[in-house]
Amino acid sequence: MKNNWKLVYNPFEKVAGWKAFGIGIVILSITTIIGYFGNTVFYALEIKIGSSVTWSTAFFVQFLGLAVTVVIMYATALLFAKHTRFQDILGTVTLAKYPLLLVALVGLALGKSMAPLDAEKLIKMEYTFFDLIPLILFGVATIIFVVWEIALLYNAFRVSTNLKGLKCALLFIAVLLISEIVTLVLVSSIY
Amino acid sequence: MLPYLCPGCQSQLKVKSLSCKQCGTEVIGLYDLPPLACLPQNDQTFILNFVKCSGSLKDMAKQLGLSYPTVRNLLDEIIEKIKNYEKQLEIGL
Repeated sequence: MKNNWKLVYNPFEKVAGWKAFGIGIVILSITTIIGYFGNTVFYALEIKIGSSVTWSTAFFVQFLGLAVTVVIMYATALLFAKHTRFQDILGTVTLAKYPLLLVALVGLALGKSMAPLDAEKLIKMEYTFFDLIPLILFGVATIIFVVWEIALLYNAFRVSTNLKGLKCALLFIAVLLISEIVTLVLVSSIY
Repeated sequence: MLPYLCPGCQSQLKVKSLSCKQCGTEVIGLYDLPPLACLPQNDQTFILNFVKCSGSLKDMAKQLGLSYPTVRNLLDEIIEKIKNYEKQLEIGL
């Protein structure tokens, strides 16, 4: 039971490298496809609901976010850690995104109920609490799954680089922030 | 398993005497334990398996059912322990 729980928050003790990348890329592709049908787009830690984009855009922004995180994390590992293999960073970071599949599923399930909501009316508070229940549910689910994803990304960084303690935590926060900023800048400059 | 830490104060133990089972000769002194003997049982088992796997971390990972970086991290921790022990020996602790 304890081992099963460990697999949920740190599968990288058992699987890393190309194997993790293979599993992760399949899950991420399914996530993108489900997200496309539920009008949910993912890039880095951003999750945008209600955006209807093309297939190519949905896949491009998803994998751009992944690539930016992998490159920045690997560059950090080269500077501050020893013996880090590129395939371990690539594999663990890709697999760490598996909670997004659940976000995509929630988005698909609640998408139709959230579709009639208008952003302007939302700002003017013209909806009742019951109208907003799907949006609240999606918001709560997203927060939970994104926190889970961040915990997995941290374990991916820790296992792949063997960094420990405060140094590991601070570098991870820096990697996460820089990846997020770079991805947002790239996405906004392209689209 | 050879004890390497003092059960009273957790300091590093030293070898005081060695004896020959054949003739009963006893060698008395104060000798440092070899670094590998100062590692906990599971680390010693890890090193034995590592040598048996011809030093292949990939084979070790397969054998232990762990990922490659996890096994490499375990090895790094053992290396760190050995280096610390060697430092202690150098400064004569």
